[in-house]
This record gives sequence, C-alpha cells and structure tokens, in this order.
Amino acid sequence: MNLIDLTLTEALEQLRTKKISATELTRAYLDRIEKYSKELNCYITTTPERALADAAESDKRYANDTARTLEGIPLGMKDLFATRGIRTTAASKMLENFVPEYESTVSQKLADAGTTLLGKTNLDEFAMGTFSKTSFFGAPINPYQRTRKLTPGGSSGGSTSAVAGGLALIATGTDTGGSIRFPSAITGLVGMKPTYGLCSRWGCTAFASSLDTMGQVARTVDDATLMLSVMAGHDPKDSTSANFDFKLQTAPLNLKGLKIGVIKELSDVEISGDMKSIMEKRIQDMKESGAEIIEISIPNILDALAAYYIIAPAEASSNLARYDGMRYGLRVEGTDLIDTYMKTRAAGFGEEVQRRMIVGTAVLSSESYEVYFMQAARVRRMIADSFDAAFKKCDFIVCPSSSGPAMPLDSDLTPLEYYALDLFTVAMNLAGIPAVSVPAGRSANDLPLGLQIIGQKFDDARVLQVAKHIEIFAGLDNRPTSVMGE
Amino acid sequence: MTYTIKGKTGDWELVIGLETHIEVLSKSKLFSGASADYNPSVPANIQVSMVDAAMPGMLPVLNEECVNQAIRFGLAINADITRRSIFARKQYFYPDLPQGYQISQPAEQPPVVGRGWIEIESDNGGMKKILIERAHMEQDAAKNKHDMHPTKSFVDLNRSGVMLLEIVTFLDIKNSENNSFITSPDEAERYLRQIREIARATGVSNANMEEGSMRCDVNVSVRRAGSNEFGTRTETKNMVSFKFIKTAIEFEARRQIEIIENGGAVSQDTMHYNQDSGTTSVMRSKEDALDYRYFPDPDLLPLIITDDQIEKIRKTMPELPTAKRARYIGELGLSEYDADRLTESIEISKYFESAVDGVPARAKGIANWMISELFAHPEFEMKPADLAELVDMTRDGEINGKQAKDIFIKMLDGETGSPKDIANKFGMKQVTDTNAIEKIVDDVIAKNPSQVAEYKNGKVGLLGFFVGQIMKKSGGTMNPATVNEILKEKLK
Amino acid sequence: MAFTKEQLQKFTKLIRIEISDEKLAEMKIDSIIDWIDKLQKIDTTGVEPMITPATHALPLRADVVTDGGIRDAVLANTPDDAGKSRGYFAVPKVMDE
Repeated sequence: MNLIDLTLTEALEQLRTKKISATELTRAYLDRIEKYSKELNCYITTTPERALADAAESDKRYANDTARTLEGIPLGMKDLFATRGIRTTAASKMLENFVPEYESTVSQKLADAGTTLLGKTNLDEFAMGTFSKTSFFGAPINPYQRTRKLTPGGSSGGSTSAVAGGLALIATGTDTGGSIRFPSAITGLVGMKPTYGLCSRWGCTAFASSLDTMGQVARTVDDATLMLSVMAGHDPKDSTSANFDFKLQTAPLNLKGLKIGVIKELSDVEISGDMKSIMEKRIQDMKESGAEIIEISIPNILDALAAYYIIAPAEASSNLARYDGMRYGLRVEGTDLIDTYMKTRAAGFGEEVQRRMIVGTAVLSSESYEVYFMQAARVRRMIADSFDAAFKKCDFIVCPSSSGPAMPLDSDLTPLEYYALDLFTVAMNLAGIPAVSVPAGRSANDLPLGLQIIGQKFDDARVLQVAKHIEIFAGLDNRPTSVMGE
Repeated sequence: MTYTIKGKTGDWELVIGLETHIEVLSKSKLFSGASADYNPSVPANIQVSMVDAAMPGMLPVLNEECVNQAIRFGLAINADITRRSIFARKQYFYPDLPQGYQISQPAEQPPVVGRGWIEIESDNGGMKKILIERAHMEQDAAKNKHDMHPTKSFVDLNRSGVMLLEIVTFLDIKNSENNSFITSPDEAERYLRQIREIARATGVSNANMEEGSMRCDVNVSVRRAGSNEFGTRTETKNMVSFKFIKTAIEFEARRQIEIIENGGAVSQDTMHYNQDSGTTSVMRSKEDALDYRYFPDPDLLPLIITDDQIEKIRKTMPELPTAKRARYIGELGLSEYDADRLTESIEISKYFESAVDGVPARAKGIANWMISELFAHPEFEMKPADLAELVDMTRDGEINGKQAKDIFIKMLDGETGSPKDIANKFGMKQVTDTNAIEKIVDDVIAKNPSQVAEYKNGKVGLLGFFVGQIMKKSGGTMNPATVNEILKEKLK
Repeated sequence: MAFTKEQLQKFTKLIRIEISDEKLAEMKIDSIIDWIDKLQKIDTTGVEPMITPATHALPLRADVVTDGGIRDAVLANTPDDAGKSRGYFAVPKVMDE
C-alpha cells in the first residue's frame, strides 16, 4: 500500500501502533511533492527540512508515548496563514518575499498538535478568485484528468490540489465565499467552512473580515472532524473569535427522524444534469435512512451573490490598504510619496484584486454607501434571518456545492461568470453558519461532484456527522493513487 | 456683550467650534498590548507590536481601561454615556497611518460619550455653558521625522495606536435656540483651559500642548451681529498653543469678514496657520476633500456599557476642580485667588486637604503658608501634619507669627523634629502675660520720650517704631496683638 | 447607479492604484456595478444592517503591557534600509506638513 493513500485516521492508527514511522510518512509525501508539485503547481513554498525536523520530533514522541492529536501528520498550509520564518505570500507579488516574524493562531495549533509542515499551498491572490488563477505564482491544476488541465477551484486550489493528489494528507483553507467548499467539491474532497469565529483569524492575512472563515481540506469526514477539533478554539487576540468549546464528536448521528431541508429557491438555478441527479440520489438515500426531506424557503438566497460582491470587496479594499510599500512588502519608488503608493500598488496587486478594490471603494464612497454597502448589509440580515427561520422547520439543509464539475483552467469567463460560480456557497458566509462539502458522486465524465450539508451556528460537529452519511452513500474512492497514479 | 469685530459695513460675531484631541493615559494602547507610556527618551519603534505595524493578519482588541477613561471624562463633562456604540474605519493613506485607516467612532451615531457641557466665564461676565456634541475614542497616528535624511522621512510607530479622545463642541445649524457656543478667542482659551483642567483632574490625560497630548482643530465662521444664520466655516488644524489659537481665530475671522464685505464668499477650506506671520492660508479646499469612506469596523463588535459599570466609575470620580474651588471658597473661607492656586494640580490640593485634615479653622492659615512659603521652596518637603501643627500653634497663641516664621526657617535649614519639638528646643513661646508685656512697654515708652511726644502730636505711624522696639527687647516672643493693645492704651 | 469614467478614476486614486483609462475600461467594472445594482430593488425597510455574524459582546482586554520591544522583528521586512539601522521605517519624504 502506498503510504500516501492512508487517510488521516488510518495514518494515525499506523503511527500509533508503530507500523510506520512519522519520518517514513513525511518522506513519502516529500517524494511525491518532488515528483508532481511542479506539474500540479500546488505549492508556492515547500519546506522539506522543516517537515523532516517535525517528523523526527514526532518519532521521538511516539517512542516515549507523548504523541499529540495529529502527531506526524503531513500538512499543507494555505499561503495566507503566517508561518514564522517561512515566506508567506498570499500568492501576491506584493508579499512575494515577506517573511513573518509571528505565527498565526491556527497554524500554531496545528504545529502544537504534532503535524509536519510540508509547505505553503497555492491560492488565488489574497484569496480573491474561484479558479486559483489569480495567483502570482500561476494556477495549480486539478489532479483529476490532469492532462486536461482543469482547475482545482479557488481560492484554496493549492490545498485541494495537494490533498487530492497526495501531496499533503490534510491541508488548511480559508472560505470567504466558498473558497474551501467549491474547490473541495471539484477535487473529490471534504472541505468545511466552520461557524464564523470558531477558528481564530489572527495571523491569517485578511481578505473580508466578516466573511473569512478558516477551515479544513481533507479526504474523509472523520479526517476533517479531527482537524477541526485541533483548529477550533477561542482566541483572545481575535475580537470576533467565538466563545465556543468545540467538542469532538465521532459518534455517528442517526438520520432517522432528522428533517433535511431543500432550498426551494435553488430549484430553478441551472445546474448540470449530473449534479441534479446526484443530488436526487443522495436525497433518496437519506430518505431511505429515515430522514424527512422538506422544502424550505430562503427567499433572498439568489441575492446573496450580489450582496457578497458588495460586502467582500468593500472590506477587502480596506483590509488591503496596509499594503502600501512603506513598512514591508513590495515598494516601487515613484517621484513622490503618492506616486510611490500608486506605482507600488499597481505593480503589487494583480488585476482581480485591483478590480475588487475599485468596486469596494465605489460601494463605500460617501455617495454610494447607503444604497450599496448598507443595502447589502440589510439584505445580509434578511438572508441570515431566513436561515434562522428555516432551521425552525428543519435540522440541516442540503444543497449542491457547485453547478457542475471542474472546468478547464483556460476557460475564458468574464468576471461576472466567475462570480456566478459562488452561487451555492456565499449565503452561508453571509450568515456565518457552518457548511461542509462532501464527495457525493461523479459527473458523466468521471469528475467529482460534491454536496453541502449546512447547519445552525455552532452545530459543526453534527453537520459533519450528517455529511458522513453522504460520504458513505456516495462511496467514492478518492485515494491519490487512484486519482493520479503512483 | 457678545464679542464682535468691526468690519467696514458693521459689526460681526464669531461662531467658533473646537475639536480637541487629548492623548489618554493608559498602560497599553487602545487596541494593542504595546506600551502607551509617554516617554520621549524611548528609542523609535520600541513600543510597537505587530498589530501597531499593521502586519498581515493582525487584529485589534479593545483595552478596558481606555473605555473607563472615556467614561470618566464623559461623567466629568456632564455627558450622556452611550450604552451601545460602534467603531468605524476612517480610511486614507499616509505613512503615519500603518493600517491605511484609523479606527474611530462614526459621526452618524452617538459614540461612547454623547452630548455634554462645561461652564466657562463668558465675555459678558458671569458663567456660560459650552455645549459639547460628543467625545469619541480613536487611534493616534505615528510620528514622521523629516530631518533625519535628505530625501526620506523616517516613521516612528511608538505613539501609533495610543488612545485619543476627540471632544467636539456642539452647533445646531438648523435650530439656533439649541445652541450655546464659543464666541470669542478669549472664550476659546477659557474653554480649552477648562478641558485641560478636567482631563488632568480626572487622570484621563496630561493634556499638555507642548508635549503633544492636547491638540485642537479650530472651526471659525462669521455672521453679522444679531443674525441667526450661520456662515461657511473654515478649519485650522493641529493647533498646539493657546496664544496661536487666539491669533488664528482673530485673523481667520477678519479674513472672512473682508471677503464677505468685498462681495465674495467664504469657501469651506482647511487652513494652515503660519506661526511666524500669525496668518492663515488655504491648505486644502473642499473640492480636494478626502472621502474617508467610513464603515463599521468588521474586526470589532459593538461596545456595550452597563449602568453598573458607569456607577462604579462615578463612585470613584475625584472631585473636579470647579467643585473643589467652590468648596474651598464656600466652606473653608478661602479667597478666589487662593482657591485657584490650591487647585492647580491634584498633588497641591491633596496636600492642602491633608494638612487641613477636617479642621476648617486651619484652612486660611494653611493656604497662606502654602502659597507664600511652600510654593517658593518646592524642594522642601514639609509633612502636612507639621504644617498643620505650625498653623495650630499660631492660632492657639502658643507662638506668634514671627516665631512661626523662625521655626519654618529652622526646618528649611534642616532642623529635625516637629514644630512643637523645635519650639520647645529653642524655647520659643509666645509671651501673653500682660504684666510682663506691660513692663516692657513701660520700659520702651520711658526710654523714647521724643517719639512718644511726636506720636501724641499726631504721628500715629510711629506705633510701628514702638512695636519694633518692644519686639527687639522681648526677643520677638510677645503676642503682637496684646502688645498693640497695651501700647495704644498707655500712649493715650 | 452607474459611475462615470471620472468617478472610477477618482476611486483608483483614493485607493492609490495607478491604472490607465484603457486598463480601467478593460476591467469591466461597469458590468459588475450594473449587476450589483439589482440589490436596490429589494425592499429592506425596517431591516437592521448586519455587519458581522458574531453576536457576542465586544471582548475587552486588561490594561497590561503584553507586547512591544520587538523592533528588529517589526523592521525585518522593511523595503527601505535607509532608516533600519537607526530603528526607523524610511519612506519617501512627506511634503505637506
């Protein structure tokens, strides 16, 4: 058996029972990285020395019985999380050589749990995008049918490409409008956006503060559940961090008697025939297991996209103001101070980032603030309230993660067409509720498709348990050797 | 009479609004854990955290003492304390603003401190309320140094992120009856001195213009005397001297009057004050006015303040200088001048009250000693109890004034012990025995017949001569009042 | 509410990004504005805006010095070494003070 085919749960079992060593496991990943990372372009920076040092430490701990929760597990870290002494670029020219002297809370927690750091994974620049194409370091490619050069999605495309291809056992992501769930769905993985505030944002480069959520990319629901138990936790350094004690729950949840909601307003949205039939199949599976499927209404769900594309750029235009060439990052000297700002930011930011910053500035400008930003904030409240009302009628909601499978990287989409891909995911960010994408089936041309299970705030543990049923129903093989070969 | 300026076509009144920024005292900064201590000798960029440097992924966390300081100040200016207020980002680019925005509180809703007022002496005589619109919390900026390099400016983030309280005076342009505002340069100065006094007395700020812990933006507009309309105002920013503020107001008002009287219109400009010439000039016109794109800071949540919190702080509020002065005058019988001097600082009034120690009869004596003697000898540390004893001994007649002075001088020179100890040591005791006094008075009268004759002929000023002689003879130990009484009697 | 070319250029200056008129036109910002405009048709009377999903009270920290004294780390990534050795961030000379 190729070590890289082990799930997190399986790997831990083998490590604990000393069937394999941490160094062996990490070496297997480092070898695969050496073989495939250039082609997949899923890493911006690889850290083999650090990974082996971590693995050596893990082996010591397994030897003297002080192993921690994720001891010896090879991890990919989305290059948005600050890692002390290791370049953290946000996939931007602006931060191409930025080396933080601090560590993000989430990456520290994962390190403290014993993971071995393989490297910083690729992403859309400053997490803005759906195909990871806006990366200054070039787009990663989907390990599935890789000669076709399909997108692994975005913005966490590097993480999903790595985990799907076996270049990381688990990886972190961030989800602001679907950036974990969408790429996970089209790479056959489990990707979760936890409840807003469950995981700390401290030390993770901010895109849109009220939407950014740190989450997991893994191959199985059990893997994702264990990851969340390590990543979650209140952080006094983050004022938006929730005071919630996430308890690890692995006991399966009985579907019998559970009410699963299907969003009425999404039924008219155009999705691929494959996606439609997979959704029907899985719903039927749930019904047969005793769940009650009911129709619920989220009246403004189709307006979520526009609201998102007002709020997110607005917050981004403000959060990215600090990248000004004065204290760190790129500086392009101009004729004077203002010219230096103008040239630095024009050179440092890619087109999509610039586009969103201009839109963000426009919607916050004094003449527009009420009709754009505040209006979007009110629509946001209506959507969140709708979810609250819906959850009085059902326990969980199911919906597609995307309208179809992975598209070719060179698809020539307009900005609006890219934005439309977020249709199924943005509403949960607006409301701050947990949602996990789980592999649900394959398209006609054998590409992965995912479904989302959505729950109420802080019901993350049970959301995962419901997702586990889908995972079992779908019964898909997402082992990296199956996807990409040895 | 409201202050007016005479123009070519008549009298003009001034409408003055002040936005005062005071740097608030706290150990750590408003949103970061770096030190907020004011210490110019600390090298650059030491009191700086990653949050202050606006590194990627950094987030603000609010300092509870900063909130308490805002509440304290609010209570001292009789203001509403807002139970729910929010923080907003004021966005612009400048090297002294690492985040590219300043975390502040927006204008559309009441910030932590809402409407309030303070009283100042009006130009009419009598007291006048100056209404305050609000006082809000915001971050201070960093310092740019331009003289350390020929082509570059150097940025020091030590002060970046320290709390500022911005205090804004109230003006209702639509309903003039609601107003009570500053109408002259002198009133502006009185207002600012009061704000400073309140800031210091509450321990909220050192409010020191020279050190930069108090700055003022001055808004000036003019209108014809008696009018209820408001003219267009200009703003002169970052003023740090009472004198310059008054000059700027005067100059700006006259400049505007001249424009209007010549048929022009005042434009809403930001002005720069030139210290050397005492003039103002346009710095930024309204067309260039920055759009700050305020929006609620999504890294922070609404600030909730409870009634309990406010009461707790109210209970520990120090007595404010105005109330203290009134009490010194009313209950302790001090003069206005004395009351002013003894409330100059918290330390001084503390010392005074410690020496008075609940014995009002001492107050005047303590006040005199402090103002005429102790203030002149700041290096001499006299225990309040010792001063009280000295004053009591004089009041009780144990010693006379001169003896008291002598004891003080001895203590100044290093003599140890309490005044009583010293009096005993040097045998200083006031003689009040009328027989003994009579003896010496008789003696001096007998020895100075010509002066006696002159005195009896009308030269009453010679009384002092006789007193002096008696004091000399008695070694200054006699009770002057008794001496005077007996002397006058005998010289009849 | 469409924005004119001039307004959009003004925004690029506000956000301090140098973009030519051609490049700006290529960005198709008007198409995005047109699309987000549809939100204006929604009746949101009486609805409180939602700024964040978080509903807990704003946490406060105790007034203790817990940070700072890390100058080297703070200056480590400065793009301009002119001030670094003297402990400062060096920036283009600031004119209007």
